[in-house]
Amino acid sequence: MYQVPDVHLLTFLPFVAVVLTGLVTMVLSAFGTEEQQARLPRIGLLGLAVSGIALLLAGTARTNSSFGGMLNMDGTAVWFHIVFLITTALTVALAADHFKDLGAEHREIYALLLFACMGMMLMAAAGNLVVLFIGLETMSVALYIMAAMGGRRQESSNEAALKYLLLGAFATGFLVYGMALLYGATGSLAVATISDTVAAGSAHVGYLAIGLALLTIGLGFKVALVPFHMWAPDVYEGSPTVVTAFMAVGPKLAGFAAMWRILHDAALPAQQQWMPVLAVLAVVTMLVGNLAALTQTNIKRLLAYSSIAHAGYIALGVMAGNQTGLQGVLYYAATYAFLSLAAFTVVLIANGDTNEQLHIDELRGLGKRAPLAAASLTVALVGMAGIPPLSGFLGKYLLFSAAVQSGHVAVAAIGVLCSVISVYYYFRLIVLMYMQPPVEGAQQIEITGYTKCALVATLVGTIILSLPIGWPIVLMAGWCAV
Amino acid sequence: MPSGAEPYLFLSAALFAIGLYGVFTRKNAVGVLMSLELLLNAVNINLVAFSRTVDRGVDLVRLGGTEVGGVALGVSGQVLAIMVISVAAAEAAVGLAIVISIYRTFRHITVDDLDLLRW
Repeated sequence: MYQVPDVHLLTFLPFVAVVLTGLVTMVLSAFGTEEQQARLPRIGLLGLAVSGIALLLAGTARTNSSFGGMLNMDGTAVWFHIVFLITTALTVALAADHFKDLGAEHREIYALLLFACMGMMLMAAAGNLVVLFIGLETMSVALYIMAAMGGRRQESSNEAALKYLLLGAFATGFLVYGMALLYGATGSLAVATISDTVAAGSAHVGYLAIGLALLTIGLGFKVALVPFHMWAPDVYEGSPTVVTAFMAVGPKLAGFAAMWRILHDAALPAQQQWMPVLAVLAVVTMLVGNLAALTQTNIKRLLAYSSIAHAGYIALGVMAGNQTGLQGVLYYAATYAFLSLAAFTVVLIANGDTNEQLHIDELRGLGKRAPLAAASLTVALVGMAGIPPLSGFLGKYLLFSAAVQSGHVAVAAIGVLCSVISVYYYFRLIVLMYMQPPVEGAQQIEITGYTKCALVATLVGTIILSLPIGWPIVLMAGWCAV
Repeated sequence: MPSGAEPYLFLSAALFAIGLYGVFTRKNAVGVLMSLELLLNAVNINLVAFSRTVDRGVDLVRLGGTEVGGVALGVSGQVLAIMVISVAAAEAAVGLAIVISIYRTFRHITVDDLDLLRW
């Protein structure tokens, strides 16, 4: 009756590599010998590398759709996959150093990270809302568990995990409700068919509008757009810093990939309906994120609000929904991933293994105590503030010009204003690191092993994206956006 | 255009509203989890109703199937409903595990009293 749908194994290989590695690490973390368990991070990194190679093959093959359109491995998906793989690899490296002295149950983090990575990849490559939903939940459930892996700081970590789970599941409710109404409006869950139906004007107007609104709320929770952001600072503060580093980058960017798949790929013909809503959300997010960050004294909370502000900038690109917008989203995703991971790596280093809450005063004199870490944090903060030579500037430029092209000049102006505000709280940290004496009794910090590799990798990534040799990457983002 | 799914939509919306009410008013973490399950199950009714009424199986036709005049063929809504059920189970498992862990550390599971982190 029905043909077996086309399966292009090549497009599917990156997922298989990550999942298989995840399963292997999971089994080893439960039944492996001490020796095997010590090798878990390396196994994880190997799997991610294999997936990356498979991804390059898939990218060059350009056989976009697989499983009858369920997977859509276009340039956007490949780009996001690369970002997710790098993010996961760096987090695995951080976990290798900072989770190694904790109890045996903490070794499950490698499997969970890999599963979360696979979920994010599915979200970015979803050609069907069912796939998007499964990807989102694979990612979320893994994250709920990781948030609870507090080690010596079990109390606040538990609390963070519960808050994350309750609000995450709440958001999922809205998201699926939105999917159901979109299904009711168009009679299909396939992105391509939804798009055709909406373009032909045969979609039920009411269901479509409410469905898109609910989907925006659901994804707004996941990427922490104001007013759906209230979970983010608490969860970021309470979770172990390694997990926070992952959380602030991966799921947020995956949320934007999903948002692009739904709002742009499926519902572009209805852009007039969602564009104003997203514009308002983006403006409020940029303002609240940046203003709230001004008064924070805990560095993890400060970075949480800063990540909310960055979600506002990226939302501008999604809102514009045009070529420049996508290029901006892709470029900013890579930029933000490196900058944010660099910042959290330094937080981990400055924290030591005590897992204490880091007050920003503890950064005092870091320039003397750990020059490399201080330099990295400086690069990360200057980049996030969007100061010209660094990649953050180019990313913001693309996003703001996309907003202008879509006719939202005022929105772009507010964005620029918010970037200026952000300079204050970013530079406050730099001043603390270099112009204040260290706290009494503070010792030199030595950075070793995986952490050092991760730190250098984020620095190199940022510099490559910033230099003129990074501009071909901008062009590549443009090519991926086609 | 009425599609025949409207009564189910009202039922589903009512259940969803009850779930929302529960999420906001329950103080016990297990109660909140139950309300969250209600949210997801409300949506399942929606999905199944739409699957019966509006899904003409366009996606199956795209894959090489044939449409049988006017009869609703598509099942993608039901597939998503099954996925939602399994995900809800996974989420409940993780949720209850976290609640147990919370109970071991705090000796209570009242959501409002968890205020180590500024909410």
